[in-house]
Amino acid sequence: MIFPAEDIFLKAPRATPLYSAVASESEANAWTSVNGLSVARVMTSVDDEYAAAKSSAVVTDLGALARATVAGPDAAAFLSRLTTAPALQLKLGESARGLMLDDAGYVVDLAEVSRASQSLFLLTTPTGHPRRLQLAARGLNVEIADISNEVAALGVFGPKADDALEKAGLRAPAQNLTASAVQSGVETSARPVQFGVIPGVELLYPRDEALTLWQRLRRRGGARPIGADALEVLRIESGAPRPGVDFVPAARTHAAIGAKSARLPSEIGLPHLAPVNAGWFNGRRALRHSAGAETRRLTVLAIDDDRSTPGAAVFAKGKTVGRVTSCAWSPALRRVVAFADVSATSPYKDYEISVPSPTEGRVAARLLSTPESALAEAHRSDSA
Amino acid sequence: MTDTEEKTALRGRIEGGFDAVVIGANADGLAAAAYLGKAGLKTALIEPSSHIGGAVRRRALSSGHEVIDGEHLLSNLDADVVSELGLYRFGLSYAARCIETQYRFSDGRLLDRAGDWRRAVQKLQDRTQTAALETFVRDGFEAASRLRPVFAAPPRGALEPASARALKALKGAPRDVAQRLQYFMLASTDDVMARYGLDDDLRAALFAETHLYGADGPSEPFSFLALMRRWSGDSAGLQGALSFPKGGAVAVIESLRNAALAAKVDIRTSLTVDSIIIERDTVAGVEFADGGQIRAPIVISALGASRTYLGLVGAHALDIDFQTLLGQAPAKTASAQMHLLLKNVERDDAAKKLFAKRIVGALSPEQLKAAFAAARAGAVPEDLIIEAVFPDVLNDASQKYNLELMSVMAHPLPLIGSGDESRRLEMAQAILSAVKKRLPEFSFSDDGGDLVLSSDLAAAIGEHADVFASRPSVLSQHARAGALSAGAGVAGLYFCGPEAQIGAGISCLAARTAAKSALRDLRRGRRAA
Amino acid sequence: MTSSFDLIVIGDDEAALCAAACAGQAGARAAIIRTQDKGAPQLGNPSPSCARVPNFVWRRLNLNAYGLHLDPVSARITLFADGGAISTGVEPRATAFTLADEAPSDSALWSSFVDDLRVLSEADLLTGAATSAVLNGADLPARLYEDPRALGAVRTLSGSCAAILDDYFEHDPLKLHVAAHALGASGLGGEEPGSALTLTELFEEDAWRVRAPASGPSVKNALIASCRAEGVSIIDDDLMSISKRRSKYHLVETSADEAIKSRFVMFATPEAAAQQGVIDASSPLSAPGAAVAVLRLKMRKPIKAPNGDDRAVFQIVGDAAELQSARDAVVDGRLPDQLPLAFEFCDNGDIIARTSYCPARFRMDGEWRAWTGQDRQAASARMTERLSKRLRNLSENVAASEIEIFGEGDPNSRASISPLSDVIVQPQRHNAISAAVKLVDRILSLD
Repeated sequence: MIFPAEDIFLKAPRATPLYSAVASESEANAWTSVNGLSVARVMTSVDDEYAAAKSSAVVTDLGALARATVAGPDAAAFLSRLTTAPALQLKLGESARGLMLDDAGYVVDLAEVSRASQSLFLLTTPTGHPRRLQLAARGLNVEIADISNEVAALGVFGPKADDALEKAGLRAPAQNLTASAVQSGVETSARPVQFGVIPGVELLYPRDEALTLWQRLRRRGGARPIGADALEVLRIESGAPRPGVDFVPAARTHAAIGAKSARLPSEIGLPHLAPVNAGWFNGRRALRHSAGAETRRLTVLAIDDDRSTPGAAVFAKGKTVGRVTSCAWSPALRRVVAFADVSATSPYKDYEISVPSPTEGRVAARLLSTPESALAEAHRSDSA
Repeated sequence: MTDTEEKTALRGRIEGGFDAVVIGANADGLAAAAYLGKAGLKTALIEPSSHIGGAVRRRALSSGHEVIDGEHLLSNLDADVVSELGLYRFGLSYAARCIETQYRFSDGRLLDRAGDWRRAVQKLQDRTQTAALETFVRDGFEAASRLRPVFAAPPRGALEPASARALKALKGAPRDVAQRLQYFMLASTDDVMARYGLDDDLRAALFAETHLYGADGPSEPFSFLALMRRWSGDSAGLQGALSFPKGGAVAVIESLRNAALAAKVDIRTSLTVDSIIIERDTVAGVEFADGGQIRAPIVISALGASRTYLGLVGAHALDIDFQTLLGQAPAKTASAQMHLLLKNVERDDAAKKLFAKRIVGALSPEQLKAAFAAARAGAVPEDLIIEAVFPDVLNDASQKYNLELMSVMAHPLPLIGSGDESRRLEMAQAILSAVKKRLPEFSFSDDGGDLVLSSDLAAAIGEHADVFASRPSVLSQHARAGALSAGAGVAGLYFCGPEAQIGAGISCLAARTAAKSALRDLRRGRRAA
Repeated sequence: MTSSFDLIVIGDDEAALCAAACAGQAGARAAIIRTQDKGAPQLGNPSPSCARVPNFVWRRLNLNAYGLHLDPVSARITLFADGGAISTGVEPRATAFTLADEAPSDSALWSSFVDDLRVLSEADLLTGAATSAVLNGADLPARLYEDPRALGAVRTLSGSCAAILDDYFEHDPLKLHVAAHALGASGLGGEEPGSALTLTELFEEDAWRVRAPASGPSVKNALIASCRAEGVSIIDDDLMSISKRRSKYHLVETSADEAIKSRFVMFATPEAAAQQGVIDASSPLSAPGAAVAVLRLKMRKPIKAPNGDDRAVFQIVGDAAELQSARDAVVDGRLPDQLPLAFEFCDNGDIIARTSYCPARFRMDGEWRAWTGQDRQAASARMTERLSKRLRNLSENVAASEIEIFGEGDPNSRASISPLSDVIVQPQRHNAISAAVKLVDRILSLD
């Protein structure tokens, strides 16, 4: 699950359950806030953290995301209405990614649904949507509880994540199944998650025990803490758009007003998360009608330069076709990787990016194929 | 109405071969089915109850007198529906057109008005306020005719040529007319009357016309538009007038039913639709409680919105924001009808003239505001707007010796469930006392009158009481109607239930819009295929 | 002598001055006719509804150049008549956090609620249309007809405040708190259509209170200086008549025998209009028949503010039914038994209380009559009593009290104004200054 945009003009962020653990280890002491909660940007150095994520195992505080449990006979129906994730088809322990769409088929937010038991689900979203949940529950028999403030959430990523978990005495979940158990004396739900498309494990457990598991993972498991800045590089490389940064979420209930900035799933490169021929979800009827109505396209570009900036103009064949929405230095590519929101009619190659002053000019950029874009491509050729 | 249509035993059978299914045999359902049948579609009209006509029904009182519940005057029956369905051929005729009104004020004074507003202005020439009234009626009628298409066809997706023309008429209005249109859409009745400088009597009279059936009091914004809505409708060919069909409202239902039967509509009663079948976001037919189905690519529902969408489609298949339309709190007020038996009726010429009129008990602005405040707070107001007519006389002017019935509409009353006997009695007494105050020359039989609450009408056809609550502001009705008639985005599903209509009274305009949209979409679909 | 203007603003309060100054700043030939008593004592602080200068007006008129300073409203606090209080702040997330204990299920919804209402108020569908009925022609009917997307917003906006609150929240004190603050400005009842608009307006934008430093000019004088700086003509005569000529311009006559031509004439507040006998009830925001009572209590010694917060706007209200029944009483021409009221603390410890639930005229035995000295006393007594129930040590510390009624419409001082002239009247708004300046922008954009 991806963090939403940072809070701007931030006032007094609150602490997540893991705040003190993270703070004690943050040498850089650089913070930002998401959903009004503190999130560490850098622990030691972005490059080292990035390298650790690529080669061994990293651990991070995911307490700033919004989480709700959904229980009751209509829980699956509720979630398959609210999100595009196929909640009705999920087997016990399975998780699925999806989108929340408004009635007109525009993207409200990303979502992740896990089935914990026959009638108990866990919904994770970048930002909370209490009103939307309230409205979607009308007429259905479900109990929704916001557990964001009650659980500590910890993400473990990297090729050696399972190893780290094992060393820490924690059972890793099976291939793709959530495992709820009392682990090392702490009631924990370990579920496979994807940070964008990077596989990992998310541990949820009572907030009073926040420090226990963190320290065990650090000391015995040897997982290294990673901050939001390094995660941002991984995110862009994996091709996962960030709500509020790479696209503007459709306004919550009155999406109709100001729909200009709203985006369809295919416009943000996630058509595979809203398949119109699978189960019912909110906005599907509108989406069916809007096929071919895309005006924008969100792509990942590799820019042949050492730096760039969000807002930089993107050119194709000499004309401005869009803007860079987010970018980061990729230590692996030795280039800047960036999300760019471009016109749907622009060609798929030969981009140029404006370089801000003092050395004004343009540099070349090319389309970067990402795990996410591969999924979208596969979906397109499937449905074609 | 006799129920000749036999229930067809389905028992789990799946029937095909239908082009369309209409649910709900009220006026709108009958009209929609007739339109589809007339266009050559094989259409089934399914009615859950055993009764045809919705809230309109003929019934015998314990005394043996026959009365008609529901509309007692027509103000709104759409002229296009009448001519396109040929209702005159199917038995519709008017016994009385352009019915005159006599306003009776709290202090006992009277004001007679011709049925045609524009003529009324000329006839009132002895009054000091004629100039003000003339300006008001002229401006009002012009605005009402310009707004007519707005009331007629709530936008449904892309603009149709007819809507585009209507829009052009709105946008192309001269500046002063345009200003007035906008002002009329937002203003309270109070404000408009004050600006036009109408005197107390005319104000009281117009207040009664505007606020009968409405949920909002005269000092509340958007309330004036209700009068424009009434004036934009026509009856028996005259804008803003009232008429009485021969045989009463039941005769309108009868003619619609005949039109439907002539269009080979298969009418089935006492058949409960369990759900509307939706496959791949497209309607595929309806399913009955016993598992039987009728498969058809078009379904039009004339039932209430909640019953249609929450009951037959189901919340799990509705878009989230769309569903918020259905949870809207209804108005807390409603109207009631009372049938009264007259005793010792005078039969001189003056009296006979009066019997052909509609008598409206008008309240002063203060009384009316107090009445709305009380009704909204759940109390029975001290005084009410009443509208009294004598159906026997209207039905047959030559019928000199058979005058026995008076039908009264009263407003505003608190909306209560149909089981609350003590409140019911309180309301009956309030209506009776309002009638006696305004019509002191009459005496009534001792049974105290037969009261029909809007919740009774709703209960009789299995709808929730909200369906017949007072009409919210016209703006809000317009918004709701527009959104609901879009059929929740399901291809092939159309809606012409009570909430699809703007304003009270039998209109069938929503049915026409739904049927025409269905036919248009069908043609387009065929062309595309 | 005949002078000619693009816009004449009538009134003498902060909203009128800001409107005139902004019109001048935008390059229009503007004038302000200051009709109210000149030489009235400049009290250190404005009434609670006034002098909340929004950022855009502050920037436009460069008010920092006049020695004024901005002073935020810290919170909206409701004191319930039977004890208990609820408080919400400017920052939705922090507010949600403070509400978490009292109304756990509702606190999560607070941010969405505020966001949604902001989106609705920005749509400006009905408020904009109402004040511009004279300006835009058939904009609203056409827009509603061609834009189905606007319909949903209109449905909510034309409804009642209570309907919106019931749709979001479960906790009754929270609903009453929001309703009291939303409706308190206009004096509407929670069940009335149009009350939804005042609710959306409550969250429109952050407006900051402006205070004048002890040594500098008062807020009003600073605004007058600003008007001069922007080239606005200031006319200090009484208004005699306004008439419309050949549907092109208005002819305004003043007591100085001046005939002034102007294309547009506006009242920046309903009180200023009512004083001239103009009651424009065409806006859904206005509560026809209502007057505003402002009570100033001079204190011997400052008393402690509830919650220890003397920068907050307070509201005192009984129960949920009280707002609507107070409104019903006003419509009926009575002074409500229970007056919902707002109050604030001044720098010097004085208290200013305000209620919009006063009738413009009284009705007794079927006849209408104007306010009398007794009525004023009764209103003052009811307000003071209500305040002293929730403010300890109030009654023994009051040195003097003074009540003023706005919008009662004194028939003697009325100008003659032709009833169908399109004089523009700004209805009662939460932020009169912001609304008046936006209205001026709309008027000037017509040319």
